[in-house]
Amino acid sequence: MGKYQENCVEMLLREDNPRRPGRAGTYIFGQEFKGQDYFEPTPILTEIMPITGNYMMMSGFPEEVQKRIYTMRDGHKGGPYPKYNMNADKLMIFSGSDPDNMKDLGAHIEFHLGEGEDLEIFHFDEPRAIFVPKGVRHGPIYITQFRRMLTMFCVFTQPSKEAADIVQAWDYVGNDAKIKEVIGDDMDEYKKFFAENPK
Amino acid sequence: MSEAAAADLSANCVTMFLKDPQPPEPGKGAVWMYGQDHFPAAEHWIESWLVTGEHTMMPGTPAGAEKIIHVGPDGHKGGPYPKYHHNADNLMIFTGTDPENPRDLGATVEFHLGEGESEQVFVFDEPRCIVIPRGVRHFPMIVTQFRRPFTITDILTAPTRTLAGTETDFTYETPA
Repeated sequence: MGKYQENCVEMLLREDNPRRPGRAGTYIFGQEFKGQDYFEPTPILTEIMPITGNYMMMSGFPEEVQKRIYTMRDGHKGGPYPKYNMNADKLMIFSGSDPDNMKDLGAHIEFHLGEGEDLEIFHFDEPRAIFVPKGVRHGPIYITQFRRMLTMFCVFTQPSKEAADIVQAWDYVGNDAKIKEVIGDDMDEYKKFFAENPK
Repeated sequence: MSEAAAADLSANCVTMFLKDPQPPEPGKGAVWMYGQDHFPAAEHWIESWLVTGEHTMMPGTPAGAEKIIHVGPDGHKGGPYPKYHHNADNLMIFTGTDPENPRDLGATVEFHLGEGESEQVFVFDEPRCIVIPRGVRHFPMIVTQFRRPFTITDILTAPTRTLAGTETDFTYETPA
């Protein structure tokens, strides 16, 4: 076997079933996910998420919607809540898909970083990199005015989510008005976002 | 990560640098760059670009031809030759742009990793991550059977190319 034969790695493609509105599958490269072509010495964990429509992440549940906790395929407990990475910095790069207009992101992003008096809310519709220091709450992210596919690319400074020590802000209450900016008033869309356990 | 970066979050939404050569390089879109030059607390140097057609990256120059040397905005000297990163590992992540068929990369890629008896040539047409250990020569990369743009994201585990110890193998000659 060649010295570097294992260095071209097939990443894990996590496909939600049913597919979530506004998002295609997620490519993951790291140490922890079952079914991945495991690459033990990787120094970092990455996630690549194509965004295909209006979308939201880590937006919490509105008061009138029953909260849920999802059990993901790899066994960890998660949900659409803001998060802290207690043991990793995280870089989130937003980039567009139009080679003739690289400065067009293809949608509008509202990104919440920090909490309380330190909360910063970033708005942008051009490519940006958001640096999330370890221990700082991040989310929600609201993606609106979608026009063209964009990609969200995350880099953790640890090789696995376990090592990153991700903590959920379970007590976060979603902002119903902001959520409606993303998916409108259609309760069926609410159910697709909030009533399913992603596989 | 510095304490200053954690205390003041207002600067944490970073405008990346867009390297946009005119005329564009054949088969390659403009390149987004992120690193310590753009955000002081950055821990990685990252470049991301769209591949827009068939081309060869770092093909070298034929034997006897005058060498090509580029000087980047950070003073880094490079050229169309294979590279080494002596002080950083490097991930190159290849992903497609068809959300209906995420396993289609949109082209065939031939990627050369290592040299001499250790050289490994990877050929793929689905998304892949190539892990380039520090000190290992990499490239050329040849894109063929292009059907659809795809993205390459290049991550160095150092915040600048200078700290990564990037070296260009100016001795490399394009195979006859």
